[in-house]
Amino acid sequence: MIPTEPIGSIPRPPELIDGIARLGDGTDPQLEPLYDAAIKDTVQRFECTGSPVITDGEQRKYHNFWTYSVEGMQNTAPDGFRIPFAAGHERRMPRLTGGPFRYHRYADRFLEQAMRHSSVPVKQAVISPSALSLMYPADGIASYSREEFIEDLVSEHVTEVRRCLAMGAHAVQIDFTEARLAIKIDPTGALLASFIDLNNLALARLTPEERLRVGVHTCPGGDRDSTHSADVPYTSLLPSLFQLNVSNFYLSLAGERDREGALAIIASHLKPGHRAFIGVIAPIDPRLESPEIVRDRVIEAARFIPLHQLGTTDDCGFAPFCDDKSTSRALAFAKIRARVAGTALAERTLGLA
Amino acid sequence: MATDEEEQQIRAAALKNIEAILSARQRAETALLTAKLSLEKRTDELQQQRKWFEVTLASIGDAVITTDTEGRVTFMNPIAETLTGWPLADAERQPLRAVFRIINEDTRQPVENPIEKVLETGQVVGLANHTALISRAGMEVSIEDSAAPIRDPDGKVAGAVMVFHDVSRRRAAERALRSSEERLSAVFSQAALGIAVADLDGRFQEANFKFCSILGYSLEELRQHTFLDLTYADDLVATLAKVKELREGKIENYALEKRYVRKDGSLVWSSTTVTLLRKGTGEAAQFIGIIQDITERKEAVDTMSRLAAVVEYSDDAIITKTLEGIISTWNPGATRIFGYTADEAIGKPVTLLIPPEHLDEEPGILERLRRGERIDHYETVRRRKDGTLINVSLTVSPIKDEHGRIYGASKIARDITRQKRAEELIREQAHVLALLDTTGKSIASQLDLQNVLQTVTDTATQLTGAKFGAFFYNIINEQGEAFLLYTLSGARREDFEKFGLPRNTAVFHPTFTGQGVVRSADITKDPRYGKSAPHHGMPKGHLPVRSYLAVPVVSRSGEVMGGLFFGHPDVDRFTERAEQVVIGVAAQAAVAMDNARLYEAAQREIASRERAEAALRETDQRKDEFLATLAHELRNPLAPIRQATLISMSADATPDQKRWAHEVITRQVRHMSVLLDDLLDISRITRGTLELRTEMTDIKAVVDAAVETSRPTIDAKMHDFHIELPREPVKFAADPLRLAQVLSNLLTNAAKYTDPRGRIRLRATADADTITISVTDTGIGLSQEGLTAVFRMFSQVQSTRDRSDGGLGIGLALSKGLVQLHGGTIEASSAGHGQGSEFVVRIPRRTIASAAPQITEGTILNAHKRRVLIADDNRDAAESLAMLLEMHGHTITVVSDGRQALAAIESSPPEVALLDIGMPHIDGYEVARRVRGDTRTREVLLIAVTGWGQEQDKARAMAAGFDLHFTKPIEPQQLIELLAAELPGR
Repeated sequence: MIPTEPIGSIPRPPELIDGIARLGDGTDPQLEPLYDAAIKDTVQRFECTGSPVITDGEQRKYHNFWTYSVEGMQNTAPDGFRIPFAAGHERRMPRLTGGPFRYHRYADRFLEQAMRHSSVPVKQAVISPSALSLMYPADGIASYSREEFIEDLVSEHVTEVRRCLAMGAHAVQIDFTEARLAIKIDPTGALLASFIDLNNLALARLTPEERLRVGVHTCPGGDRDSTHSADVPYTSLLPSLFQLNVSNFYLSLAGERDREGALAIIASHLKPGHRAFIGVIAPIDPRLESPEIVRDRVIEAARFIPLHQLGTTDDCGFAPFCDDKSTSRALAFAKIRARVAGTALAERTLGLA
Repeated sequence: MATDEEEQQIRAAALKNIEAILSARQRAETALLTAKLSLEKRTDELQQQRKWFEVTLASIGDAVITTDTEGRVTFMNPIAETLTGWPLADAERQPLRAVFRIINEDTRQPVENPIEKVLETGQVVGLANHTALISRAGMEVSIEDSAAPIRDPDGKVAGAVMVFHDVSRRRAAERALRSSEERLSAVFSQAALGIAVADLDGRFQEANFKFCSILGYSLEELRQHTFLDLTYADDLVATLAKVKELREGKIENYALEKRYVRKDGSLVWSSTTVTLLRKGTGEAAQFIGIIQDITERKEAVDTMSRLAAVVEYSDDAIITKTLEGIISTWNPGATRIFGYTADEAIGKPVTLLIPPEHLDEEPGILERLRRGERIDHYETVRRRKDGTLINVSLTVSPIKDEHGRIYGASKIARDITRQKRAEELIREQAHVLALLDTTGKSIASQLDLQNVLQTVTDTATQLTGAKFGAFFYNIINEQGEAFLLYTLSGARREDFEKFGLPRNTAVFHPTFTGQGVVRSADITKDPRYGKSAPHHGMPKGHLPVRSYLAVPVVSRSGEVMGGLFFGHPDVDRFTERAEQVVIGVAAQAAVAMDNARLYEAAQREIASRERAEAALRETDQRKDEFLATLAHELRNPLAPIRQATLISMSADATPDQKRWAHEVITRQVRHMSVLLDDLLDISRITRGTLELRTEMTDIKAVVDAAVETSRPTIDAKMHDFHIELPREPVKFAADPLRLAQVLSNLLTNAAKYTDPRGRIRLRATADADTITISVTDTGIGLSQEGLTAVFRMFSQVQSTRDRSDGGLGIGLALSKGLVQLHGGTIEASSAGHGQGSEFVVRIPRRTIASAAPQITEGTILNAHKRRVLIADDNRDAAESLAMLLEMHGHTITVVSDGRQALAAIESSPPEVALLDIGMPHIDGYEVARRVRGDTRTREVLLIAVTGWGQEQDKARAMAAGFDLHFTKPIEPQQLIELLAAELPGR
């Protein structure tokens, strides 16, 4: 049997998007009914796709998958780094202005709300420590050393992961989309290695059992049907990626130009106990994949990856940012349904079902 | 698109982070290394520790098994290997439950493995009781086990350790101890003796169930008391004395038989033993008392004493004997009954008392005793010392020792000789009563005297045991009392008949006179015997009699009805009881005889009544026939009268024809008058109203008058008629007309029932007392039946009717009545049909002082001439009477109803008024009342003329004012005479 899991985000309902736009603040209490309705609808439609594992579609992640945990922190300033996307738009990170660094919210609160409506396992995506490490300004904070920040950051991340695991998450997925960005910024690979070190520092604090339910996701950074680092070759990322001390790897592949090359590298670096969930759906591709296409992509991957270490997933979330309207919810669920159906077709083709 | 500057800033910030991250990584690696070293050191220590533990575990007495988190065996020490039977090499990695199989010792059910519980809960599982380990070889070992989790340095459960040890010995010891304690507890609580512990004040602290039950208190209640509280007052002094000695150490314990007062107030005898327990220092500590309820024993002793007295003074013989039949005890009752003293009897075989013919009983009795059976009320015969036999009732019971073994028997012998005799008497009495009852029923159910007396005689003979018995029924003969042999039992009738009737001799006299019973043991020795001639005792050939018993049979009215006599050739055979029995039988016999007599009388009465009823029925039948005859006879004259009347009234009739007609009418009227006269006479005779006009009469005149009347009939049949009269005139008192009527009737009958030219004789004789007149004929005669029937009313001999020329058949009845009125008799005799008849009239020859005044023709001629009123709606009757009276010179006025009568009387009061009662308008009674109410007419002699002749009719007429009452048809002569004579004064 080939497991298949989503990455996480689903486009928000238009009324929610409009509400957020109207109020200008995703945390306004007036949005609670819209959030509740969006989560309930997402869970129900997710289950209808047949996906054995679902998410809440990250309906409450404001403003996006990267900054949801620090949105609203008092010791931040909005003038952080801008994250450039291929489509020409950019997203700016908050800037830490003082210590100590504490998450403003943990993702388990989203998980709890989704599990109330769900009858199937729910997984939860959290942001990696390495992504948030960019909040600390280059010139430092006088009263709060960088070392202190790193320690607090690792600690907060571990806390969030454990809270989600404790809440009953089917799996906790660490979004590590900045991996390619790190290579883009620092082609020497030193930054990427540093990011991996940082993340491993956190992962090291988890128990092996906990780590069995923890995975890492990397992609070019899809947003509004564009990426922030798709131009970074996968081959220079993957070897380092497998240094992460996790069990599951959620890897975008459907949108990759050299899938076989990528698959070969994945296969060569995959260790015992690892499972590679390869992307068979390209959320930024406005075309709906057929199950047969998905099947073919699975079969293609199966040529490289042992079946017992193979899984399928989407290349990326369908709407990592809350105001992303580039993909409709209907298309997103149709694509998910195609992933599920195509994976099942592949199972039959591969003689697994 | 981010600017290069911004990318530089990001890079700068990121690269600065690299250093910090690297630094952090280095710190982490350092810490990891340190931890690794520490871990390695710790691992070494642990390995050393493990070895130490393994050595230790190998040397300790407890078995130890450790498992991983899966419950698989990771370590076992040698003790565990021994107890489980599993070498560590085999057991390692095996599930613990396979190696360590445990069950509950009591329930034999598998119990939860403590390791599993530890791994599940992370808690220490303590010792479990009653656990048994089943070794690999199936051996069972009692163990105690406990288990605890093995935690890693992080506190997580890494496995479990179980420690257990063999407690089989201890368990066995515990079981033994528990069993011992239970036994002790049971002994204490269930001891047959009451056991109690009391403090030095005597207050109860503990007591077992028996103690509580003896005293009737619960343990809680008992703790509220001291043993002195519950000691019976009479035993308190002795108890206190013993306690004092005990306290002072003079005695170790004491035993006392004393009484306690139970909770319900009753007393209980106890054998009490009290011991004073002392501490090691010798100081007194507690009393321990043991009591036994000896109430039953005490009572048993009392009972034994009473029983001994019972045995001593019993009227029954109470003997004990061994199973060999040797007498071992002997009470005074036995001496009294059997005559042997105790010294004479004890040690002797019990057969001493058994007569030879009953010796076979004893082995059977002994055999039953050996089987433990009891012999109840065995009735038999035993022999006294003097050899006499006595009836005894034996009750023999086995005697058992304390082990239940039978070693002897007790025998109670009761002298039932008198009882047996009484029973025999009762049986005899019952037999007698049954016989009496049977006899009573038998004779009560019989009404035939002969049968009754035979039953009585037979029964009494049987009851008395007599050789023979007889019942003589009293018959009074002309010579005095004599007796008729009636019934016999046990002897033939001819044995008595040849001796004739028993006579009233001195021996028999008391019986026949009802004076009483004669019972003699030997009658030949009785002083009354042989005193009467001619036999002076029993006649020769008489049945031999020595024992004699005679009982009179007397009726309820006291009449001696006869006697029951019994004899036997042997002496002294009749007991007093036999006498009483016969008296009872005699009483029943008397009642039965009375009943039989009454029955016979009743039968006679019934027969008489039946005869009377038959006669009445016959009379009714004759009356019916008579009425038919009467109608015929009254119609017969009417036809000639009517024809003669027509002839006489015819203008064409010659004087001879008219004379002939008058003669016919006269003859027929006379005939009718005779008929009616006879009827009236017979009616008067029947009603007793016929009065004779008795006068001194000459027999010749009477015969002549009769012959005159009968002559036409006699002559008509040309009979040879002959009269024979006394030569001398014979005068006697009689009514000559009635007597002539009788003779005329006899003569007319003789003429009628004798064929023409027959012979008829009338013969009259007289002696001093009787006038006898007989009429004989040679006629058809009379049968025997006819001889008695001819004199009955309305009787005509059937066979003669055809021959009769009429008549009502009342002539002879009338004749008989008239003769009887004269005090005489009339009898008929005949030799039978065709043999002629004779009728004889006998009249007492009497005289009278003065005869009634003779009415003579002269008297009539000199009579008064009266004015007479005749009132009758029957004009013929009135006018014919008027003509008759006018012929006698009276002046007659005739009216036809009451009104005319009154008018005539008032207008011209007559001297005599003859008034019919049933007249139109005003009846005779009313006319009379008005005549009497009128002063002008009240002196008229009123004569009622009516067809109603009863006394009440006369009385009513008198009440209405009539002076005289004549019944129709008026006898003209009587009226003529009345009018001629002086009228009764008014």
